[in-house]
Amino acid sequence: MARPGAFPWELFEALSNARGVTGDEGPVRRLLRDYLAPHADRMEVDAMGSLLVEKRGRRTGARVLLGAHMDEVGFMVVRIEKSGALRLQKVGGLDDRLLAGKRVRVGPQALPGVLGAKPPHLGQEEEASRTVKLEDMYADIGAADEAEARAHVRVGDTVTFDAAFEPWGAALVRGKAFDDRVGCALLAALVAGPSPADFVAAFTTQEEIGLRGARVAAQRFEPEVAVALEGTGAVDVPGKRLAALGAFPCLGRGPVLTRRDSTTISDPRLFELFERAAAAAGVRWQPKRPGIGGTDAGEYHRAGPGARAISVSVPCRYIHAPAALAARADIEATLELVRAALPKLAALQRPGGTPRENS
Amino acid sequence: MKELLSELSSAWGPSGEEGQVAALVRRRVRGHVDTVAADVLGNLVARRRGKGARVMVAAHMDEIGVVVSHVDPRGFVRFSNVGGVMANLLAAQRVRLKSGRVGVVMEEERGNKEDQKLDRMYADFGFESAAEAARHVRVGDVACFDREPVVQGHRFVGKALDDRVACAVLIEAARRLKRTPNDVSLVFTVQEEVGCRGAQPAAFALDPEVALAVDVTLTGDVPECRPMAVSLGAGPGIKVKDGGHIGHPRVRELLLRLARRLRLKHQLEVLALERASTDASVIHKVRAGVPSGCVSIPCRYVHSVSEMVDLRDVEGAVRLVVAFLETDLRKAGF
Repeated sequence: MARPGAFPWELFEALSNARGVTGDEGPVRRLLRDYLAPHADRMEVDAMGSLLVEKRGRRTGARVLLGAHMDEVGFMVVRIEKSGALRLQKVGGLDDRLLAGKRVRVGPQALPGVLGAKPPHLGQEEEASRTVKLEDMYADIGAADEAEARAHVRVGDTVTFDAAFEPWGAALVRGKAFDDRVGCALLAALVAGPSPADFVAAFTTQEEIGLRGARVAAQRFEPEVAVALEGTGAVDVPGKRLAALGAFPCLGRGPVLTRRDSTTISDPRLFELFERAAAAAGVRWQPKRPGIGGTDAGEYHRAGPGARAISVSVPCRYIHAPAALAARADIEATLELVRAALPKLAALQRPGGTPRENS
Repeated sequence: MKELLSELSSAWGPSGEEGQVAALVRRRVRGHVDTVAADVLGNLVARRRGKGARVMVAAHMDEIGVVVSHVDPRGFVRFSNVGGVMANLLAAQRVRLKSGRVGVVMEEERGNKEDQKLDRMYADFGFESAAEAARHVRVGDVACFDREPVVQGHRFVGKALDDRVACAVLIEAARRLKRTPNDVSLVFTVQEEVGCRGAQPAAFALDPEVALAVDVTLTGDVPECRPMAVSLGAGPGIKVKDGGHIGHPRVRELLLRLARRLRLKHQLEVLALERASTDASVIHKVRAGVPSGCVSIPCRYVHSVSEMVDLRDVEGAVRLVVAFLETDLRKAGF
């Protein structure tokens, strides 16, 4: 039994292995519901499928929302060929270079499949050096023909990478969907632990195709302070060009704090609060590379009359791919940082309410 | 107007860091409105109370710029864009940090000159080492263009006229607005250039019954440009449509009637660029919807360091906005 408040590694493993492509987050939601039932003061599933958990603490103040999204990038079956091959569409951002030859799981039965493409020696020479696009691939589940495939698969079934969570040496872990199951596990740990203040935990849906679940959750609660807990891309990988432009965030250098990404300019006071909390708790942090990526914070800060928002992330190499890597120490440090900041968030109320309330 | 516009153009305020512009606006509207209040995102609401229709007029305070993404071991600064920065217009320009420190933007010497991208550029702030750089700048800091305004005849040239010229229009309108039957909120918004992020919460809070955005628009009166029926000096534009908003027909017709009554030079404006729009693009969709129009200031070279407007168009926009706010908008059907 892990000590209360420690990072729930077993839950994280189960969450990473669970299959929950955008719009099909049920299995992830069920895991979280079961885990959180003993700890939540109130729990519900909204019209978007987001799991909304209210947690009461010792103090009240500004309405605080902590969020993590349940969905992962993946694929959807769009056509079943005469041959039994499955044509797919991407769900969320996926890099074609990573796809051919990967093992996948198809539909609610989790049928094993492989992403097939025409072998290079059967094409023109220039074709062999070109990246095969998903539209020229298919999922092969070993069906002899269309009828056999249809017995197991329907158009609209979702497809995930087939990858099992595993330790990767002593310091790292490896698995799929760290974006954002690591955020889900962190948020679950915060709900399960003792809470210094009231907050709403929003386990959202459909982040990867446009922050759709977060928008509805934010409209519902109109938070004054919102924190998106995320898995974000680490780019500490070889490459001269990358070195010139800055190869960060890095694994092992602690939680990542965002000042600006493509959806949100973090509230300066909230950013400062996290900086101070990190210093006080002795947690080393690193900046997010500005201008790229986006999170549910993009909806949180614009909902209702506006909110202070920020993203706090665990650096992960190779996100949106079958094998992400993350450092155990970064994950634990991120939990420590958010836990240190949480009691202070409630003090960040909106200045004088909304302008209309002022009059 | 020239002096006000110079001050606003020179102010420092990339998206998300509009504080200096907001302080300037506060100073300039003081005494001409009943209340001035900032919301959580930094939107500034200058309000003239009234019993009539709640009307929101928006002009954005932020300007485009760059954000520091990396400081290299020799102190050169790599950056990414804040808003619609065009790489081909950036090389050899200067950018300014909040501290006032100025950097020269250059392209890497090696590389494909045809393929101009921000990640092939850097800013040289004169730092002699990474350690010196670290004392002045860190990842996430922003900078805006650095360029003094110039007035020649009726033409005003400067940085950030998108949308400081509209801030000037709203300030001047507040000064000239004598009596209004409406409940007027002049909203100086934040973060327009990164996706109209300020206007949405501001409109939600104010719950207006009718709204106007005041912003710059492009022109079709320069050599070899896209076809567009807007010219500098031909008066303020009355928006028909842009990439994110169709001017509400009743607002548009009211603006046209007012312009004709004032014998004001004006032009109908269609901005046929898919991604170009104004704060009206979000305001009109807030809550149950807000009939929204847009008064446009024709502007050449938008998003360059030398945006050019005609001061007669600016004056026309002020008169049109004042006339709109003096109209009993309840009686006008809003």
